[in-house]
Amino acid sequence: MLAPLVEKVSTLIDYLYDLFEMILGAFPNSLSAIRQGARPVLSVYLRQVYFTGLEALKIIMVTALLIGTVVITQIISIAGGGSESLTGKVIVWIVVRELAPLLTSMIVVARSGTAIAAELAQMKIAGEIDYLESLGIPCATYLIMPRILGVATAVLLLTVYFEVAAVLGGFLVATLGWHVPWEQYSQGVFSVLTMSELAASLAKSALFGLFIAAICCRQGLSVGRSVTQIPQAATRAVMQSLFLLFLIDGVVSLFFLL
Amino acid sequence: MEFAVKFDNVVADELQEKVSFAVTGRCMTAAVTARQEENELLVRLMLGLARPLSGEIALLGEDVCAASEKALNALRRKVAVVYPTGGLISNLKVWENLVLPLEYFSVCPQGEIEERGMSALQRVGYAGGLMELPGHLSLYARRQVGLARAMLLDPELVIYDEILAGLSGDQRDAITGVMETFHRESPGRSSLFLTANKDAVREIAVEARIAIKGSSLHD
Repeated sequence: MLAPLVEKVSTLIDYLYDLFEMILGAFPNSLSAIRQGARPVLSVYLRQVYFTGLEALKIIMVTALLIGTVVITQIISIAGGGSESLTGKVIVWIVVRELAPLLTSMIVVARSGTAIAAELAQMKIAGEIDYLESLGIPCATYLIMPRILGVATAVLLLTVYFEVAAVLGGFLVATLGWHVPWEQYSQGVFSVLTMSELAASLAKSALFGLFIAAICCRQGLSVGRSVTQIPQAATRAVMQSLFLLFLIDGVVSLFFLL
Repeated sequence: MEFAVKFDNVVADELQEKVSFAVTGRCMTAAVTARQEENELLVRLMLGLARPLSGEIALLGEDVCAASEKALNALRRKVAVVYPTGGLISNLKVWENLVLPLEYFSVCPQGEIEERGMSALQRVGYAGGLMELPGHLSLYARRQVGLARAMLLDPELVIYDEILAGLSGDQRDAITGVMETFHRESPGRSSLFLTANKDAVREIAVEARIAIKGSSLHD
């Protein structure tokens, strides 16, 4: 009974090790690309930041404003009137600590994770990975590294935007609905918004970005020769990314708590 | 360098029999294979993109099977392959595809890359848009861009995989003319035409013809 469990845990550890290796490999690759002055690599990186970051900004801002509204409404309905500074504190605890990195990453998985996995799978099936390798251009440097770093950059920046929009959106609802003054609201926010809170939030979002991209690249490149494997790779990429998001979230939260 | 490519008793998953052949260096050689799918595998084996189960493969005098990934990448830069589809990357525009290796390896300044790129496209007679995606191009146009990219690399060995298949008479003549001129430009250059169609070989002024069938070699 214990043997299958041990096997599953061992498979998970192997898988995580592969992902770590892929992510750690991206950094020396980026240095060698910079040394070579490889413009095409920079171009892939910037495109990834654009598609993952800039194009998702609108949906991230709308989601953040709505989340801010929901959280504030819930706090005031539970705590009642006179809880002005508490609203600011709770929004930091809930949004900055947890929801901003997590929801931003989930949106990125849904938008860009599937796109990365499907694009790489299509390239593999069409033989384009071989075309690149036959030019002496390593797939790890040209395709994987800029995607991993691009997604991580985009998730990090989107998380910051999410946090600002949620805190401001929360204030807007609080002041319009319950006449909460900015001084009391901001006092609550800044009393708990410490550097370690921000560091935990940004560390989570950077880790989420790195792992989402690594999983999606890995799944995209794992296909064989059939086009039916493209949607399968995209589905696996999404499911594994979501699972890992929650796992990393738990580990990082515990780390910062201890 | 006696041989540009040498296969010695090579056994691979998708090859039906042991394969042995040799392509003489500085020579224009046509190799007739049993099936078109075999060409792709042979190219992959030559470049070290696939490993044989047994046997030895030498490319430009180097042992492909024993080479490290770094050494293989360096070796691949001496070889240009023109694939049946042109070998273009679908999410890059024609111009980006053309200058990708030059920009990646930063072989010359940007101005020179533009000059060389335009000149190569003119030589192959490419008349399409530079900002087109490969998916919007005809087969002929994709091969023209693939051929132009191969010319930009100034390779020691050029492998043409079914480059004339599916083209009209005029298009075949135009491509053949460019290939022959390109081969003669550099005395050290070797060219290998891979095809499963015996008749296609007759259109090219090759210096040697071989048939890759099992382990037998027919000159």
